[in-house]
Amino acid sequence: MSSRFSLIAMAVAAALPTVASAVDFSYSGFSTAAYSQSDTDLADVGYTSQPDGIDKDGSFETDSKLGVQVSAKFNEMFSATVQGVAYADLTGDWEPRLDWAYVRAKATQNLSFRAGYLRAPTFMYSDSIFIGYANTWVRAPLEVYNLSPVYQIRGVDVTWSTQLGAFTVTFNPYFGDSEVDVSSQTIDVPEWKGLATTVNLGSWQARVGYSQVDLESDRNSLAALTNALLAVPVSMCGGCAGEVSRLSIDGAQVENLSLGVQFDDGTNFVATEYAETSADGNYVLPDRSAAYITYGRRFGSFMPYATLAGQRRDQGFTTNAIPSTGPLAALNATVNAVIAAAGGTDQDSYSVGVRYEVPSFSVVKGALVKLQFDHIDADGRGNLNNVQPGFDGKVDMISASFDFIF
Amino acid sequence: MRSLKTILSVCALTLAAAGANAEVIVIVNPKNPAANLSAEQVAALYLGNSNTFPDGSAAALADQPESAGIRGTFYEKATGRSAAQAKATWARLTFTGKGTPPKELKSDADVKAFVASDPKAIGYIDSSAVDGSVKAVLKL
Repeated sequence: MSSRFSLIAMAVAAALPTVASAVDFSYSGFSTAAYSQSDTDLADVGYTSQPDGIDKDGSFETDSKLGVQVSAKFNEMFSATVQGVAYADLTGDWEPRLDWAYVRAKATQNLSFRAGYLRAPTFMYSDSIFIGYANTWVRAPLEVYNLSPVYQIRGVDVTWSTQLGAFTVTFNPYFGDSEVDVSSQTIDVPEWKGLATTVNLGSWQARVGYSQVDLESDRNSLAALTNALLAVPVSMCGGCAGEVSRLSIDGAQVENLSLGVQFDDGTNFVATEYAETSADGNYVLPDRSAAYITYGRRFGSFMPYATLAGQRRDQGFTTNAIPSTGPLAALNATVNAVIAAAGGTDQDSYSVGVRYEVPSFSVVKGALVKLQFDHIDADGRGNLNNVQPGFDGKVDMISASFDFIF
Repeated sequence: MRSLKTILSVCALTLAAAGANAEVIVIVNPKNPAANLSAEQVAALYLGNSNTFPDGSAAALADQPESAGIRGTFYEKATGRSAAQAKATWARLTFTGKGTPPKELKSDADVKAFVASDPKAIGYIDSSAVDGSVKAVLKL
């Protein structure tokens, strides 16, 4: 964390010479207090590889958040923003983190540059996934939003909007690096680049997102297996050595694609998104695709909504590179066991809920109450965590959240 | 008693009539070259889809207080959305660094003074408050 703070200090120091006598500071914040409980102890609903999540004992941590943002506008061109958010990270700790910290330069009304810590817009709602007050659901559909576990990027982005007839087109390229702590290891992202393109027309918005994420990791828990594969003579097994790189996320390049459409005319709300992730046949990060569609209709302050979502694993559970019979049969079986245990499997879910706008009060500028029921039907472990023997793939879950901004 | 009732009912009728006749006027600074704006153009500004006037110049947005009835009327008529929906949209923009919400002022008089003093400004006030210090560009 200290290196992050020193980076911000440098950024702020760099911006200071432009500080006029009147720096315009603004403060704002958002919070979600959410409780969820499912009907099973045999699997947890949560974000990628989180050691703890929503189960029969209930969870306040999984979806609860508190964010505070401070912005300083130095002049018409330069501003700086810092946003700290407390939430349950992928290691399961609920603690405050510096989620955004950037300096922004607005070159023209339609062109701006940012540098610092940002949240990458991998999927349609990736950068605003924590803002419960702005979102329809208690949590964004995990089938899509669990495809890529890295959110925060350290780097630069550009936002350029242009008018093409009646369409407003916005290009948002970004470039940087990152690292993410998951429960078993720290994953480095030495290079991350992407582009989000959004087209707006009246009540419609269409969006295409593409990104390439390079991964590195020091951890090789499969050293014995990879050494065994490397020791097999090429004459016996031409593909064995090639399997080594597919068994580790070290050196993998993940490509994420997202196609989304949102319609909102004030009464009807539709959001649908298709996404896929591919790491060139990596066994630990299997190719997956996922989609959801949400429909909500507003009746005054109430909006009932429903979502259908699905995730598919687009690659198999066995290796073709190692003979399954003969002297290498045991090696084949070991590799297959690793593949079978790694990554998500197929999962479908539906959810129904209602979102209610609470009249604002005191310092609370706006508040919502959401109630949601989810039914998950996983083929095997789906994208659930801590799956235990005997789990039948079915989870029923209720959630209640109170979301507000201040 | 009877006269009090009469007075009360007259008051109620007057208020109802005022409510029915109340028009929301979108105003800009007299220096703004725009002669008028469409509801779509105003909606684009107040929902964060655009941050400029049709001529490409920057816009500074003023809002009325949460408690003022005119705020709800304005958002319903100009954007087809409730004030609460617009607030959710601005929350998304604010916390992803894509925009700054309209500046919330206290009254018609404050909005008018803000718009009169800043060539970039846009706001909305009750028709009864409009005077020569600002330019009316849209009647809702």
